[in-house]
Amino acid sequence: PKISEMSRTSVKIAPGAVVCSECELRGDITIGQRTVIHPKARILAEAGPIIIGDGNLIEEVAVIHNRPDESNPNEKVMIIGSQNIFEVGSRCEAVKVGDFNVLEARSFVSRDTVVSNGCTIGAMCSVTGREVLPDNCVVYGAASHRKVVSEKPPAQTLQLDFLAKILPNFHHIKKAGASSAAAAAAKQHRPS
Amino acid sequence: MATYLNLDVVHYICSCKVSKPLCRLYLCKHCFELRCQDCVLPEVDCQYCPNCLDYMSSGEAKVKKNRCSACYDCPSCGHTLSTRATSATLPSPDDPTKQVAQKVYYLLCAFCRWTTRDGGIPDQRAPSVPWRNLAQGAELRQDNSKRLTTLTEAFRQLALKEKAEKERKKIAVRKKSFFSPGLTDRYGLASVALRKKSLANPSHFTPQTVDIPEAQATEDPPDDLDEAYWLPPVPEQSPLAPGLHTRSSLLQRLADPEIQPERSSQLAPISKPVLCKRSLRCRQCDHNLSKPELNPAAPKFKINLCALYNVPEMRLYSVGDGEGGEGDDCCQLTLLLTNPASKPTGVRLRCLDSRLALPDREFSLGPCGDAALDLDDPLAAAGAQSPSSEPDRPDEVAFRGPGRLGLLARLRCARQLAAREGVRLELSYEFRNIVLPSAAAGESVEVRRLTAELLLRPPASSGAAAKA
Repeated sequence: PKISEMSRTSVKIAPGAVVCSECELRGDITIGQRTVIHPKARILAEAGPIIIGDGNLIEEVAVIHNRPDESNPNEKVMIIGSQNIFEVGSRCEAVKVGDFNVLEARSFVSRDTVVSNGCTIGAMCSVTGREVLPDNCVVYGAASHRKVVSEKPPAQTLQLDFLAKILPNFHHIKKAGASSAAAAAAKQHRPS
Repeated sequence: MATYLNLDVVHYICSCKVSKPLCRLYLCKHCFELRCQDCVLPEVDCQYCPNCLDYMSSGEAKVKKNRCSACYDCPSCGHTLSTRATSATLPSPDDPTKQVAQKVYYLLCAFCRWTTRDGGIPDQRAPSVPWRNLAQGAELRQDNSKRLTTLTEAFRQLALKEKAEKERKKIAVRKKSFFSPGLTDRYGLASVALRKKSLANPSHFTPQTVDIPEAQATEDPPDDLDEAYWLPPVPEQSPLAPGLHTRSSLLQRLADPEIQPERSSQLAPISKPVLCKRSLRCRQCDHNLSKPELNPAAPKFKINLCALYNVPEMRLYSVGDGEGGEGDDCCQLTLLLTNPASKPTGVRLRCLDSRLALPDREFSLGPCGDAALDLDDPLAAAGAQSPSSEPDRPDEVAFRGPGRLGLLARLRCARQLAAREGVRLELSYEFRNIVLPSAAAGESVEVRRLTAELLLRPPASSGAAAKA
């Protein structure tokens, strides 16, 4: 299974996206413009492709996992919108994520949940119900309290610009464009 | 160390006969006794805000109603609100026709993301502003000040009247026998009696009756409850029922008794309550045992008589197996004695209920770690040798360190018994009391021999000892 997955690994990186080489990308992944992916982030498109939109911030040790579901074995595309923030250690298995959401550190969203726009999932909170979270919802506290606030979290354009400038100074960045494991293997065999 | 932080193993007996770990006790250096939290009288020194560490005297705190003027708590979850700034284009204050980008401020809770915008407060131009008064819910606040002033005035008059009555009764009762007309006429004191009587009835100073004005209802109570009060019916599956989030929760409502907001749009930032810095006083001799600095940012103390700094601490260092294997009886304990003072001290341990076999002589402990570094002799500094002339016997002393001594003791009863009931020990040590300078001599140090009673409860099984 590992080998077949690797042969299926194909990553399309839009121009302007900053994807560190040290992150783990598996499966069919599309990454939008101005998205920043830190090293040690893991994006696993196991049960189907993952499409990540523009301006997202995926921090270290965050996991975006399109996990195969025994009850529903059909391939499902995982679509993540734009301007989302996946903080350190957050785990997202939700199949549909909207825009301007913040998944704080170590939060967890299960496959059944649909995250709409402007939601904030607080640190260590887990959302596992089969439901659509309302817009601008905030989940916080040890008991995962809910409330709805009046506005979405602010977009982190300053932070994204800063990272786009600083990260290439310290990490290897994957090149933009389509690449797949087969093409990379072919490149290695070519005499340099 | 098997029992590094296990506070229940060794307890010291306080003067009120309660056993407590040493870190919870104070040593009163005037009574020469250990005092626990219950033997000690707390007094409030000053109040301070836990967020900005701004401290105020008790009088000032009373005026401010025990709240910080600058810090606020989130009405939704109780955490501290932080001030955020954004820039917005507003008409500039100089020239109303021009639109200039300006900094505007709002309060945000980092935990639950409640903002002052949710409470209906517009963003302000200055960062420190009385946010609470600007809230929508502030209109709900009952203004009782007028009613209170009329009531205080009326009661003040009533108090004057009652005081005058009391005076009159006193004078009348005391001098009645001398000033009754029957007796006074004989000695020509009738005029004196009349004058006294008129003075005792100063009815022209105070009103005979005092009216307490009745309260007037400000508005008629509504006949029916507001239509908006009733929530729409909740669909069964929705976890966030429509409209439920527009209501405040009971805890949120009770956290703000002044406003008692029913809707979440009426939630207002709550002024942060202050905490107090307290000093402790011995109940017996009235001396201070613990007096911190007024400034909450300074963790130092003006007076700190914690027992940990004055009484040698005994800890259970290890529980060795008995010589005949892991027997319950006769197992060997290693007790660690630590000297907290910067001068050497002599200690002696004695077992009071004969459950423990201890070396029965005086040991001297070197000075504690920091002071030991100043000594010239590196060996003495390390405390490797016994400071006194007697060399240590290996069957009594397990090891030595700077200010530390490991004593070997043998348990004479079953371990289960010792763990359940404990072993009573007596520790006698030298306490160096720095007496304040008297007129003639300088600062003198008085050395007193003090005793403390200990209760040692070694853990029952060696498994527990290894894990602890």
